[in-house]
Amino acid sequence: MRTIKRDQAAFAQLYDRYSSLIYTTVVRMVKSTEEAEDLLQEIFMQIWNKASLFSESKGSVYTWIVTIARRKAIDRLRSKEHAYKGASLDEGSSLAVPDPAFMANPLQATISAEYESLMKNAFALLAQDQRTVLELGYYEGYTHVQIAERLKLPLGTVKTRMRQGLIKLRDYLKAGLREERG
Amino acid sequence: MDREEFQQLSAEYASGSLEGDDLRRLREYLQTATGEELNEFLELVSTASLLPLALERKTPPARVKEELMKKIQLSALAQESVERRISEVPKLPSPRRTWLWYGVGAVVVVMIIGVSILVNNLMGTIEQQNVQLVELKDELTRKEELLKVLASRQIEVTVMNGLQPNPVGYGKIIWDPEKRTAILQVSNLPAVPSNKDYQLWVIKGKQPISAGVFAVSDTAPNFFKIENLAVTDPKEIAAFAITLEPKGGAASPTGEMYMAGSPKL
Repeated sequence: MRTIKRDQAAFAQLYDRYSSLIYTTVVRMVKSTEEAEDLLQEIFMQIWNKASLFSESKGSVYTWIVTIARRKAIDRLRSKEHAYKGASLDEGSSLAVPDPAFMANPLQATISAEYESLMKNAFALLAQDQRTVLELGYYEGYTHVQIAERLKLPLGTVKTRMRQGLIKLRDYLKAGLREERG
Repeated sequence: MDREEFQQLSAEYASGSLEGDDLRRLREYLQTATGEELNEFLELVSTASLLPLALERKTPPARVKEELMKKIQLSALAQESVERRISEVPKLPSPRRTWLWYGVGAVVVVMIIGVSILVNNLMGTIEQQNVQLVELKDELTRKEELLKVLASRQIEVTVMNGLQPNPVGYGKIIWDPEKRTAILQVSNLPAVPSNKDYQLWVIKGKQPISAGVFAVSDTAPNFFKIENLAVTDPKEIAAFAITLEPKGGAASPTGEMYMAGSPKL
């Protein structure tokens, strides 16, 4: 990643490649285009400032950037008490930059038409209850406890639906990739 | 931790909702996880990270990029400035060399002090020698003047004797009437107090006329040159006299007379 060398041209290319995906994600999470624009700048400033901590040999650029974006958005949501009262920031999930060692990418996740198509299809194939839990948890930043309260479900049920939904998605993706790549 | 629990915690981690003790447990478990478990964990994290691709894309306004790039440029300039300043800071010597420099510094300081003392002593000596040189030059000048007076075609000599309160004193006046210059030589006169001077008088008839003031610091022979002697005709001079007067002299004698003598006619 040339951004490591504080290359502004490389950084501009990185922005062009990822800004739309990140903006889409944070708009969905914070539900405000104005706030999402502000967050987008914060996220890319962090990428610029922390680029030297990233090593491609240890993880995926895609996963690293998406994880930074989600954590920033969750921090922003949790700093607002109105919708997330009771939720607390945790050492492992918020301000820290994600550990690239955990960003290994066995599915070779990246931004491509192939992956976008597979993900849209796979997500549509999930059961509605699994999709709802994943949307609330991943796209909107709710904790499992908050999801359980919101859906009036036992916490264990929420966790199970989340786990099952994610495993199904993975299996769809692996099968789809195998099929498309012959 | 069984497989279901491991999958559960991995899924929660992947969705970003794992916190507290469960997060710590998973991290600890991953330290000793099998290759298969680790791969499953990473697959779930990778799958969750792809969830944004399932959303309908939105494009941020172009101004967001413009503002961001301005911030990046400013950040880069600030970083360059800091790095330049850091590079301009002179490097400190290593700790081992610091002691060496302290030693060298101490030797230099001692040498500077030694040289300063030596220079100071030399300067004192030179100053003292300069004073002696000036005194010798003055002495030489006086003797040259004496020789000039003695070399004159016509000279007059008047011997002066000591009076009470200093009868051991004596002196001479050697003068050249033509050039109106004279040499006064005195011996055994006591040193004058700081607020006093000796004053030489030429007595014309009964009127004393000042011929100048002088001071002596010891009883050794002292020579003084007198110019523009007011009276030059020996027949008009009744006597020469020396009195002790206030500093700078007086218009007429006020103090005790230490020495006196009359020209031999």
